[in-house]
Amino acid sequence: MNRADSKRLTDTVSAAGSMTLFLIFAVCCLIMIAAAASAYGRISENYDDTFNSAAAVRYVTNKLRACKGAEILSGNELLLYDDGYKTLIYESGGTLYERLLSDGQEVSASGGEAVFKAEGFSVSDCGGGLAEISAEGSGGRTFSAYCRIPEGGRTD
Amino acid sequence: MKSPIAKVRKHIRSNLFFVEMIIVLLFFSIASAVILRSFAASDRLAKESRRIESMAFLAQSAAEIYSGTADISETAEKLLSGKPYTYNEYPDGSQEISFSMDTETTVRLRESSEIYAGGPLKILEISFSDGSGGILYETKTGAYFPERTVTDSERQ
Repeated sequence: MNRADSKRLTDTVSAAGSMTLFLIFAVCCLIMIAAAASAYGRISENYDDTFNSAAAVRYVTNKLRACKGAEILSGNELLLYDDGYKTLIYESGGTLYERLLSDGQEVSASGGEAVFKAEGFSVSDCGGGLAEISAEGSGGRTFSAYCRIPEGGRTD
Repeated sequence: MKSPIAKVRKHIRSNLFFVEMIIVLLFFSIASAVILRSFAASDRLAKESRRIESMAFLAQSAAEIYSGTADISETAEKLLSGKPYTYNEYPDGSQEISFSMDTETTVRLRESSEIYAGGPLKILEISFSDGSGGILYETKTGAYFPERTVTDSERQ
């Protein structure tokens, strides 16, 4: 092998090495982006669950504990009785709404104020004075809590 | 025909690219090691936060059910809705129910009672432990039934 051939071989190996390193760099970049996207997705999912579905369940259980009495109107409608007013909590189109009503006012699940995003929100009577409040989180996760239904407060 | 100077320039450029790629990959590997550690930590925190959230919901539900029933078996039946659990009774009269919340967490419900002249005060300890037995979260609830008569077994 003469000097010119050796030099050409060196150049070829150097170029191939550089290209291989560049390829490794590109693949590593892709892996890192995929890992970052996956980590961000998990954090975002957790954040959504905590501040929407789980918060909705906690909100409703706290309202239920604080009221004088309560009545489950349907699978996604809950009426809370207090002194001089009622609060209707209902779910429509994946959003939890709350509506304040004065005593004697007709109860209808419309015109409420949006409180939380809560897919699959449901409230059910489990017997023994207990209600089960549940909402679906992202990724099929379900948040569910039992709460005692207060018995007083009803005026109509 | 290429001049010798052009050949030398081309060779130097190729080597410089090779060295540059090595330096870039070195920096990239150091940065990715740091970032991957952060991703792993965030993933661990997200999992931990989910677990704590589930534990809080379960403890809250157990406390709500127990405050009305004052019966550990009834609490477990309602809470687990038919899923299996282990029941133990101790010489001091306390009862314990344990079950798995997920692959890593074990839930333990322990009921004890304090007898007062007016009736028994039943106390339920709810604790969550990991695989190594370390306590992750624990809470206590009580149910007092002044109208209930104290049974002989409770008095013992």
